[in-house]
Amino acid sequence: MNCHDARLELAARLPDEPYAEALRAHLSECAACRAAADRLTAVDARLSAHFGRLEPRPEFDARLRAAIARAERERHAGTRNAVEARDLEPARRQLRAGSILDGIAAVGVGATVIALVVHSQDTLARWLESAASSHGGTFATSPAVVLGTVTIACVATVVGGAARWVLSRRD
Amino acid sequence: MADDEILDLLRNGRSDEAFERVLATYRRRVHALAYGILRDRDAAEDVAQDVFVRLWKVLPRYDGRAQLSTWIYAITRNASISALRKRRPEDSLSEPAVLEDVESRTSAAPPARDDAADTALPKLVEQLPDKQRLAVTLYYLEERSVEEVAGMLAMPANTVKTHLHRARARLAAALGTVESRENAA
Repeated sequence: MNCHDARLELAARLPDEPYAEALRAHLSECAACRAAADRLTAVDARLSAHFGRLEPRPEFDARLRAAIARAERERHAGTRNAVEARDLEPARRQLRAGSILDGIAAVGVGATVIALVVHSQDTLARWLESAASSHGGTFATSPAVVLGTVTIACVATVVGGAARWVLSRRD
Repeated sequence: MADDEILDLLRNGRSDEAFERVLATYRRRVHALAYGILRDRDAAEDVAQDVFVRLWKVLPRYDGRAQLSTWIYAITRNASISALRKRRPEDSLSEPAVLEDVESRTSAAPPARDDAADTALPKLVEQLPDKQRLAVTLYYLEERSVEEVAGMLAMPANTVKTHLHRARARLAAALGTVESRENAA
């Protein structure tokens, strides 16, 4: 083996690999290649000593355990919220359905009253008096007051239904 | 073999024990890989912590289709590269770019020659091209296993060997120069 081949073989050899017989023979008689081999061995020793000391610091484990405990708490909180949301869902659906029905009824009643007033306040007054007299009484309230009361009730019902709808959709 | 035992524990619903095995087996390796990429001990510990918290969350769903070590090293590489990107937002780094041979960036700089060999070594390693530095760092951290380093870097073992040979030759030459100057002084 000549020096060129010996250097190639030294360069290609991993630190823990034994020397091949031919390389060993060459190193025993060539001081320059032996020095090159010694330099590589010294580099290996220095690198092992340098990197062999590199470990996560002692406090790493405590920090990691704390981070995992935090993640565990967050996971439990997330699970609890999901369960609560699932349990509340049927009630929320009922609430939304009730809101819709309230809204439809309020709009219907309001529209009817307004249509009657627009058609004829006299007709409404006669209708109210007739209804009152059929029960043996009289109706002395102005149709405008009736209209205002019904309108306020309808608007309040619609607003209330809308508010319940909004609330039912919040987590 | 540790990976098989971890998978058995998971299949038996013993995910806490499986995680403890993962931590015992990969604690040093995950930290080493993060350190090799980030070159910063604090940042490497932060990434290692994030990786293990993530593993704690997802380990119960690990089904064994991918090799455990490959999976863990991929998570670690991605987390390290994300941390590197946050630290150096001006660089548009991708994993191949980080692991790509960037010799031109570092080989132009001559190794430091004004320190004694013992103290010069970390600087000389730091000045190696990225792939050579990663290969050397992980090889000596990982009990000299080329296969393990290849798995960590997702590289063929022969490529790791090549980087290792080049790095050792470069370091030997640089340290030889340092020692010569020290002896002459």
